[in-house]
Amino acid sequence: MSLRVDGVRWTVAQRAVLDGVTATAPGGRLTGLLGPNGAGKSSLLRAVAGVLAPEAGTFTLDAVDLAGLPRRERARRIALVEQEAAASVPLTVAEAVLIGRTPHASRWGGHTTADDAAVASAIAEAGVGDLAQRSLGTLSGGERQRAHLARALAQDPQLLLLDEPTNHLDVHARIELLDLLGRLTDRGVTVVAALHDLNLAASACDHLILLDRGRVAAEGTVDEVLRPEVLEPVYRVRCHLLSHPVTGRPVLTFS
Amino acid sequence: MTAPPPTGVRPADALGARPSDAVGRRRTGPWLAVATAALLVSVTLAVTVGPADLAPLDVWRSVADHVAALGGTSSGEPALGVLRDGIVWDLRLPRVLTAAAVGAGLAIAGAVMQGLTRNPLADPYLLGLSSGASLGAVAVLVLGVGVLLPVAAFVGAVLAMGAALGLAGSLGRITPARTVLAGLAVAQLCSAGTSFVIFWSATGDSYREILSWLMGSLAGARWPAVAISLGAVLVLGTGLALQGRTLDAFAFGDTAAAALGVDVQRTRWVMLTVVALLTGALVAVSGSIGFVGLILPHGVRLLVGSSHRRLLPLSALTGATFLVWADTAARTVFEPRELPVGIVTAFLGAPVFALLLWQRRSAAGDLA
Repeated sequence: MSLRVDGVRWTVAQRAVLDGVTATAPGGRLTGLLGPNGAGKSSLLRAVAGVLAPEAGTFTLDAVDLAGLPRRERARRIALVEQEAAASVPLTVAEAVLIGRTPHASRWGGHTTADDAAVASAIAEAGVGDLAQRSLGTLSGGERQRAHLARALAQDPQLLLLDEPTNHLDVHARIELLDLLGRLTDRGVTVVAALHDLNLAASACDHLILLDRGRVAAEGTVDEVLRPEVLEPVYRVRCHLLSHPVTGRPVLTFS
Repeated sequence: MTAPPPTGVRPADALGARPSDAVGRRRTGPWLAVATAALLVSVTLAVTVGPADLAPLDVWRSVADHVAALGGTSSGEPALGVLRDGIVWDLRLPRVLTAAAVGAGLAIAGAVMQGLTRNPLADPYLLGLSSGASLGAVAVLVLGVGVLLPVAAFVGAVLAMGAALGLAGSLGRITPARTVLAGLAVAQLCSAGTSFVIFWSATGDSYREILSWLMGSLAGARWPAVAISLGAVLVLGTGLALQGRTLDAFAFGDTAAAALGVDVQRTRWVMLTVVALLTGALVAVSGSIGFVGLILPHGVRLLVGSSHRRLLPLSALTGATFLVWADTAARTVFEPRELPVGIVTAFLGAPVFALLLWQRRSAAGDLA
């Protein structure tokens, strides 16, 4: 289920937020979407999810042209977890997760046993079984992020898009979330996550796409992308590359 | 609201147990049964309240008589006698049923607006829809084309809603506070327009009539009013309740709803138009009654949560019961003088409005 993005262009107030983005997220892998603030990471995720309509470009998921799919059909294949999605009304975790079933709901119907089963397994997979009856507002940042992830999993997506999923999470919650994403890719879900933390990307991602002002500055493996000569012009910092003493993965320091 | 403490359900248990238990679905069945029973009892009792000595059973006897008459098996003389039967069938029952239908419709309208605009303060009265509908209704009454009353009320509600949301949007990002301020401006303008039209056209004492449009009154409600309001609630309310899961999808905002496959703009405008249609039909028979759409949905959310498939039917039932009693109070407390029913609902609703503001004081950023 690889995602292919081809020549995507989206302009707001005469500024090209996405300026001809062409990239690939390999199937069943965790792809990191990197880039400084305003590089177009969130916009690209929203465009893939069908939330915004770019002027040009195509999206193909496993050889299916997404533009040709009805909205609901697209939402059954792709789930998006936004950066800060606050509920306007009090909801329990279980109720929030059920909302993820919206694209699968029959036009007029209530909840089906398929809904119940999908909600239960999403709750179990995201590890929020203990929290199912808690109100979203009472959860810690890490718990809330997992609840949102459970909501996305209830959509039963082939492609999961995450916008800064590790923001505001402590180290433990961060590792827990990455473990969960690892289990998802193991069962074939393609995951694309916009990330700010380059070292996190270095340790967890299989594939990286680096955006700079709406264009792809680099794409490839961790070793191909996380190099000082690639990162320095994009982030406008001095960058030093070390090697992790245990994993051998790249570690970056900045000055 | 705090949920019950964690039950210690492990994922493995969750998968094995009945799924509805695992996902913690709150039970609505009992609430619906209680609310339906409460409404039936309230309607029956409310008809008996007032001058003329009537027992609850008399109400049903009269209903049975008239149903039999419709079926052509009438025995001729009403069981209650012509006078008391007339009080039940021609005066009180249609008024009480209209109150129930209007209360149900306003509660549904409020709940749907709150869901669609993600605004806890949204309500057909606060956002000016009711005042717009009143102005439309009064305008056609003055022109002498009363047949168009519900249509004109609908047009007034749509224009007022468009004006309020348009004004709120043009002030910047649409926030609850901006929407309420814009609604206030629209409501004041439409109320002034309504008052002026009545003042300008009325030959005698126009103040009673002005008051009944601005504060709401069910004094004139007969069977045609029941037909309009109940018909609108059954058709439009059911339609909205069936879209409950789509409404739920708006809980996390427009982007989340769109990512769940909802056509956000189209859904929002279609549903808001249905709300305006509903409001128009209700206001055409009752004038603008405030706060019903604010109090009941918030109360019901505390009981059964925010899922619209449960929220809308239960809000409708409790809203109906609420307005039945509010109107009963309005017509009996200062007997023989009548209080506009909107005064009763405002006395009860304004504190709830204040409470909602107070609860969200920490989230002032959301409101500003």
